[in-house]
Amino acid sequence: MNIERFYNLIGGDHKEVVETLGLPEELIETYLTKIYNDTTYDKLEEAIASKDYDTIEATAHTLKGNAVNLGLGNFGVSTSALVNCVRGNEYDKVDGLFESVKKDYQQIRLAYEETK
Amino acid sequence: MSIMNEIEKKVILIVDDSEPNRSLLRDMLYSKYSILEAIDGEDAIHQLEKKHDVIDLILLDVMMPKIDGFGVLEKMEAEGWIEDTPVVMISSDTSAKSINRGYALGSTDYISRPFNQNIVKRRVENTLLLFEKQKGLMDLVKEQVSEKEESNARMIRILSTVVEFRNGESGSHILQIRVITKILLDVLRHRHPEYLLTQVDVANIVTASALHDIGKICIPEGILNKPGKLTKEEFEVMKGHASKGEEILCDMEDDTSDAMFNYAKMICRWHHERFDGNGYPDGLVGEEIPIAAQIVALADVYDALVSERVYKPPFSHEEAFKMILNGECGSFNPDVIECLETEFPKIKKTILENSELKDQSLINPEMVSKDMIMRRNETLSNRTISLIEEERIKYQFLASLSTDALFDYDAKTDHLVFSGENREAFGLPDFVENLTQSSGGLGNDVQELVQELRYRIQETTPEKPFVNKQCKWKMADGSTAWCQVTARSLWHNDNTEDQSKLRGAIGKIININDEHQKLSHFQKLAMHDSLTKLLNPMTAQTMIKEDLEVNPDAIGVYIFFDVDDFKKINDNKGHNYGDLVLQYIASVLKKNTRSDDITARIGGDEFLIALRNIQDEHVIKKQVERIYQALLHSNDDYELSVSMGVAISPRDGKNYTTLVKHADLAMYAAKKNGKHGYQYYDSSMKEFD
Repeated sequence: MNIERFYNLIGGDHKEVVETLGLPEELIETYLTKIYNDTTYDKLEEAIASKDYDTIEATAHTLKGNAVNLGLGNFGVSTSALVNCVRGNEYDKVDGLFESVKKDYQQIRLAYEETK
Repeated sequence: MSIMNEIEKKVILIVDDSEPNRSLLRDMLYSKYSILEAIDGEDAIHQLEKKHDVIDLILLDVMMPKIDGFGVLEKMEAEGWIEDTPVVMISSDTSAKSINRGYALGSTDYISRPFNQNIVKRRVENTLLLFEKQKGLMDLVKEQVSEKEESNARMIRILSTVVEFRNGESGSHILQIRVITKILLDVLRHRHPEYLLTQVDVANIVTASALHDIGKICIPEGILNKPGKLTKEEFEVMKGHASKGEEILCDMEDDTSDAMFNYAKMICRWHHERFDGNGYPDGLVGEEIPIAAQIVALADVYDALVSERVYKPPFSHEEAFKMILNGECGSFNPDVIECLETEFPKIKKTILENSELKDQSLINPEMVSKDMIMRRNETLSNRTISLIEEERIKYQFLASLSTDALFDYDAKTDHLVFSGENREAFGLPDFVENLTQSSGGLGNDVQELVQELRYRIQETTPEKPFVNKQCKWKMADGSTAWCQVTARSLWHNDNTEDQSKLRGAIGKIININDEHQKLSHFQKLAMHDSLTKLLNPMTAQTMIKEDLEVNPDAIGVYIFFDVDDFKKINDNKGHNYGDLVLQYIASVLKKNTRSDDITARIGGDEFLIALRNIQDEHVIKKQVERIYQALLHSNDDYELSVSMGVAISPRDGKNYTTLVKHADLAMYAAKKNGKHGYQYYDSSMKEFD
């Protein structure tokens, strides 16, 4: 997998991620693979449809954690915004914020598929 | 990685519901630590229940399904796990509010996302180190506190046993009081929290209870141990022990903050108060009496009932129990009585197994304190001084009987003391100061001897302390006498010294002149031929052998000779004449040999001469010739002639047997040559063998 290109495609900073984690690129690749295969996003999507705000908060929080840890560009920002919105009970903004999350997530999946 | 390292690795539990997060942390830490994972708060608690004592650190996520991070912290706090296991919170939520909440619940630190490997590692390491140090310090403090407690308790046991012994009470009295007090307090504390007793209070009261009767030390023994009933006046004096005890303790300790001491004071003063106000010394009623004193009062009464006293036999535990419940020993707090009722079987059992209790103390305070009491009328220093005085008188007496001179040297002061009836006859002063520096009026010979002895004494050991020397001694009257000096070194046997240290020496100087003369007379007799006074063959042989051994290559001359036709002399002139001839020969030999040459009569008319330390052959010839010529003698009716054989060492042999044999061969050669002459041995003489 070309990790550098992956981060370029998603607007992340490859160099910073590698330095911060202090781990070999092969390991970073396995985390990215795990995230690609992870079902948390699917659960979030379901929760959005059923307006299950607790699950929305929990899954968005998990995704945010992964995004921040792996420096997944805008994905960390959009998931964070979604979490804060649910915690602030601003449910009317949820759908709009989820659209951003969805867009960022799909960008990550496309980049992963292209560079793997 | 070796198994040992694997075992020594610290264990970290990573609690995070996100699998990628857990593996990220695991990858950062697994090389240095053993990693456990929990998928959420519930799983974390489940794992902690089983192995909280092997987990060294927890990395705890906050947001988790089921039970979140705060829930885990609350559980850890409730179970007391948080004391032993530090928690580092993982947070992507860096708001001060949630971090503070974590701290409030006992977490040690936090790390925030994104994880930076360096920071994660360093936080984990620092937290573990900090915790380890803190734990080490806590253990140290705990150890010191318990050590101090132990030594306090021990001192109190000694002190109270002193009192107990004087009171003529059984050795276990104090112990029983403590045991009963402890049992009653433990149950009272649980049943009646209103008394606000902590475990520390219980420990302090139990320790203090040992001192309850310390005031009895002030009560005259006649009253204290009076077998019969006390008079009213005597009883008043006896009652004084309660307040006296408190006074003693007040005088001993100014620190009013010492809880144990404060309990001891209360207990001393009020352990004879009764709940209804009929006790002494203050007649306090009910709750006015501190609970500590109430408990010890009951323990004291119970113990007194079941123990033998000078004024009463022991009651059985059941009798004692009944008497207390019936109020025969005054009234007690119903709460305390209730404790006695329920704990009675335990108290009885524990006291009956009292021998086990005794063994609990590390030292035997009873023995120590009894010993102290035994000596109370005779201080240690007086006792020591009287023992020393006794020894001194004994020594003086024995010294005055001795005809020897005695001496005593003290290495520390460097003083030498002479004593004994014959000290002056030996020409010795009574005292020499600073022996190493001055001669102290000792004659040169004595001074030299003293130095030699001092040197030899220093070479002795505590196991082999004796030094002996025989020497000639110049006596005060100018005569010389053989003396035997015997000395013994003295050592400090103080075990605290690393090595034994020389303290000095004692000894005596004995005049053995008479014995010495007798001995040398007998020695002479044993060594010499009685007729000629020359050496006997055995002695000559020994001396020659010794000489050859010491100087195997020295030139020596060995002359063997006999009187020509000696048989004829005996036959014609009689044996007496023969003896005279032999004595004459001896006198000639003595005149013509040096004092260290050996001259011996080997038997009959045969003689052996050994001339030692000869310089060269030229001298030998002259010497042999001179001896030969001296031996030839003629008078009117008799002409003395001899046949001599000469062997020279080392040329003709190096040992006694060879040399004598060769001298003998040479002598036979001389005889064959017509007697009246001498021959030097040469190897051709073998044919005569």
